[in-house]
Amino acid sequence: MQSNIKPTDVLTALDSFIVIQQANGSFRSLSQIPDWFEAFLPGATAMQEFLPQQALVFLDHFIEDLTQHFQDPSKTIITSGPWSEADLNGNEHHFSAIATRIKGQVAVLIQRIDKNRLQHQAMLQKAREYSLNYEKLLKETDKKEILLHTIIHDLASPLNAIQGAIQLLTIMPKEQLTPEVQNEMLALALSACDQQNGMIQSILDAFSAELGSFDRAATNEASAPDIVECANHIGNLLSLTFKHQGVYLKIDSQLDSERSWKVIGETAHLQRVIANLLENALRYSPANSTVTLSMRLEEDCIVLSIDDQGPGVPSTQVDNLFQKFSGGKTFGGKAGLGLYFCRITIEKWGGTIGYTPGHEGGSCFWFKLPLMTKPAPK
Amino acid sequence: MVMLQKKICMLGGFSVGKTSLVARFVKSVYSEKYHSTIGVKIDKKLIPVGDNEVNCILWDIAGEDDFYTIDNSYLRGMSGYILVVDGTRSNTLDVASELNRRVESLLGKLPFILVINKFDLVDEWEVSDLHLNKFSDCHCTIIKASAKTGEGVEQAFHTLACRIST
Repeated sequence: MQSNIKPTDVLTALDSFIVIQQANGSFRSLSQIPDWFEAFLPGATAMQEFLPQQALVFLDHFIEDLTQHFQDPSKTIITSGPWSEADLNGNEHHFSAIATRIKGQVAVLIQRIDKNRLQHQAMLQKAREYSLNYEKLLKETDKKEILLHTIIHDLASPLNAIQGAIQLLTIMPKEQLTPEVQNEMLALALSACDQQNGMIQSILDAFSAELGSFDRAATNEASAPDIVECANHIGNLLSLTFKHQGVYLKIDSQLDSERSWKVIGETAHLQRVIANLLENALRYSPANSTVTLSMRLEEDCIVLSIDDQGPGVPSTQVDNLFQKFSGGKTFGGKAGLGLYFCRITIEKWGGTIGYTPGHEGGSCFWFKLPLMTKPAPK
Repeated sequence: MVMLQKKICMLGGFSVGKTSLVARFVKSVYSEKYHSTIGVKIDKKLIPVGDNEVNCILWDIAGEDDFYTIDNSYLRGMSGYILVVDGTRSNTLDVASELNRRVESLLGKLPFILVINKFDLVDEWEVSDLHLNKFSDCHCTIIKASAKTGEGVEQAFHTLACRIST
C-alpha cells in the first residue's frame, strides 16, 4: 500500500523543521515552517532564504559551533542541548537542535521540546530538591548536636554548684559549720536549683512556642493580662533571688496605678517573658548594682523596659540576640533560648522586642505590646 | 547614541537564584518556587550606560552539580559574567570559585560581578566577608543582592554593563 504521508508532514507533527545551509551562509527550509517558528521570525514562511539566528539568539552560537565542528571531516553530527528563548510576545519556548553534514551541505533540524523538557526538568528538579533537603538536614543535625551539648553543659553547671555546697556541708569541721555558713551553703544550692529550673523552663517554653501550643491570646478585656500586675507579681517572686546576689530590683511604673493596663497576650506567658528578661539582667549584673523595670504608655502600646548596670552586649552580638541558640555562641555557654522565646511570644501577640545599649553602660531590653483598648484621651 | 550588543553569562551552582535574578532584572518579577533551568535560557535587556545603550543578551546557564556539567561552548563570546552565590549555602561559594577558575583558564580574565544572593535571608547567611576574601585578588565587584526584594539586582547588572562597555 502506498502512503501519501510526506516527510515534511512527519516533521510538522513532531514540532520540527529542517533548514539547509546555502553557499552564502543563509538557510533554506526543506520542510514546512511551523507556526511557532513563524512567531519568532514573522514572515519566515514566505522567505526563500533566511537567517534563523535572527530569530533565535542561540542558533547564532550553535551555527558557530557546528562550523568549527565540521572542520573535522570525521565528524558528522552535532547536538545543541536544550535552550529556552522568548518570542516577540515574551512567551517562553524551549528548543533543541541537531545538525549533520550531507554531501558537503549542513542541515539543521530544529525542534520544539516542551514535553521532553518537562520530564527532564522534573527529574533534575527532584534530584536537586533531594540534594537541598539533605543539606538542610545535615545543618539541622549539626545545630541540634550543638544545642544538646550546650544544654547538657548548662544543666551540669548548677548541679556542680549544688554538689559543691552539699560536699562542703559534709566535710567541713563542725566548729566551722556555723549557722551562717550553713545558711550560705543552702542559699547557694537553692540559687543553683533556681538557675537549673529557669533553664529547663526556657527549653520547655521554646519548644512549646515552636509547636504553637500557645497561639492563644486573650480576645476580650476580661481575660487579657494586666501588664502592671504581671510585672509586680514576677518582681515579688524574683526579689529574693536578686537579694541573694546583692542586686537591687527597682520597679518604676509611670502608669496610673488607679486603672488597669490590659495588653494583648496571655498571663502565664507574659509573666515568663518578664521573668526571662529579669533573670537575664540579673545574670549579667555585678553585685551592688540595680536592675530597673519600668513601664510607660506610648500611643496605644505599653513599653516595658529592663535596664541593668552590667557590661552590656558586645556590638558584634547585638544583631543575633533574639535568634535561636544565639546564647550558645555568645553568652557563656547558655543555650540561647530565653530571648528567642521572648521574641516569638511578643511577636505572636503583635508586639515588638528589642535591645538598646544603656545610657551609662549596661543593657536595656524592652518590649512593646498593644493595649486591649485604646486609652481615653486626656 | 551608540547601541552595543554584549553577551553576559549567569554562572553559579544550582538553586543559587540565577534565573530569579534575571527575572527580577528583566521582568521585575519574583517567584518563590524553584525551577531548575535546563541547558540555557536566553533573555535580552537594554541597559543605558552614559549616552549609549548596551543590548545585553543574558545567558542564564543551568547550575552545575553532580547531575549537570556546564557545556564550555556556552561561554564562548561572552563579554562578562555574573557569578552567583547563595549566601545561605557556603558550599556554593566553592562552586563559584571553581567556575571562575575554569572561565579564566578558558577565556582569560573577563569582567565579572560576584553576587551574593538571598540578602533577604541575611540572618541565615553562612557566607561571611571573611569567606569572600578568596575573591580579593580577582578585582571583581562584590554585591549583596536579593532577587526577592530586588535589592542590589539593578546595581549588579548595571555595574557589569558599565565595565563591559568601556
